[in-house]
Amino acid sequence: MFGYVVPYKPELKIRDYNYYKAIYCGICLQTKKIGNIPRVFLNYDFVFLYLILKEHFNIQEEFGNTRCIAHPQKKGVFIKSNKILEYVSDQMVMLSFLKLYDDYVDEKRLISFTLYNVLRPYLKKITRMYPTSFKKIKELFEKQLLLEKSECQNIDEVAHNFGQILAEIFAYNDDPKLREIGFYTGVWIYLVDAIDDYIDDVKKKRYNCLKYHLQRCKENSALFEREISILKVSLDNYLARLNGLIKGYNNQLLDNIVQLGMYSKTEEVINKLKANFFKELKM
Amino acid sequence: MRDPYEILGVRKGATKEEIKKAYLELVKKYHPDKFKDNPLRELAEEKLKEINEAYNILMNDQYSSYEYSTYDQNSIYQQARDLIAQGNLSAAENLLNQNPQNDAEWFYLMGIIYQKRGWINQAYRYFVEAYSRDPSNFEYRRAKEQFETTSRNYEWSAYNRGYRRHDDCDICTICQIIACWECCCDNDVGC
Repeated sequence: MFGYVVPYKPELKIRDYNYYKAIYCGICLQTKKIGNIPRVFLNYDFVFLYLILKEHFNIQEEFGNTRCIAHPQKKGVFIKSNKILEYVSDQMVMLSFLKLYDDYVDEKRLISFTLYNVLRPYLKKITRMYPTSFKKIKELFEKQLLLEKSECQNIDEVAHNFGQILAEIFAYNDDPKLREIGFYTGVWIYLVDAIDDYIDDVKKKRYNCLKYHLQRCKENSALFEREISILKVSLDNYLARLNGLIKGYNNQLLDNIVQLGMYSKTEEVINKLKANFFKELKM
Repeated sequence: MRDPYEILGVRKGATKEEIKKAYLELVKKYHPDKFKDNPLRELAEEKLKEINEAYNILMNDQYSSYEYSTYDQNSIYQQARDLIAQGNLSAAENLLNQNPQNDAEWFYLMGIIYQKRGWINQAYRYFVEAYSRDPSNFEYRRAKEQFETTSRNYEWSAYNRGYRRHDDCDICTICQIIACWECCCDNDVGC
């Protein structure tokens, strides 16, 4: 994943901030049990997954103190291992593995391939625990590659497929609500990432799902504004649904992430594209 | 509606020139001036209307040659609506895709299909398209505005929780703040 699902810090309470960091440390320490190398892929997005699952299953947490390699000076609080934490860390390793595979197939990067082979034994351990969900995710991932290869012009078709991958990851016990949360998160991540990478992708002649719609706007700023406003409205709609779904959990940190963190990220990437679109893509 | 080629009395696949020629002849034949004080006048007017419609369809390339004769345009939409109501979205989509039209109703129905499927971006695009083709239609407008309201409400919740864009503080805002400030200071209750 990409690190877009983060809280909006200026509005975060210190208490929530510390708790957020404790989860992050918890995931890191949990991943250590699988192996030290996968810890490289530690990602803030999975804290969101943990928070959702924790609220959903009403997990009681225990805290501990530790020092870690990255910050040996400070003693940090972390969350002690529990079932959910295990699951989250497993999923993180699995997903980063698939991402590496994707990078390798996509760009033929040697580093990705080496890492992929290094990670392979870890993956075997994990996939044995979740065989059906792994099979499904792998299928969806392959479909994703196919859609991107065939330069799919339908924004929703690609994003929808990606959303289903996250739906599969979020749905720990096949719960439809978790599935829906995962789906909307995934669609949003995919679209925001596409907007964020658009200029880079065009320059490097890579696939981007917005290309079909935005390419026509090169000389027409009115059309560009229209496309952007359509994107903005649809992104907000996804977030509004997500917001409705997490309301039931009554967790301030989750509210902050969905209502402020994701909102400000949307604004940020859209404004960035707006500012650079005509400047950078001049013929 | 009958086959427009049949109405104009030309063969299928006739060129625009041929169609125009046939059309002008028919207009001459049924022109209302010819039927002054004639009981056939109403019939002729009816006929002329039909001819005009057929001519417009053929000249604007709205005619898809293989489906028109079997389906009436309105009944395609009715069928699609029925299919959507039954929850058979892919059949409805197929039906619409086989009969690509350029009118508001077509875009609206496609939008409904995508909305039901959860493809929000595509759905909204189609509703915007339907609305721009027929802004007077209440149904289309409501579908489009529903998305915008949701978006606005979400944005509003972000603002209420304290998210502010920091580049909002332009010279106007500063002046307003100073003006407000001064009001307070002039009063006894102020600083």
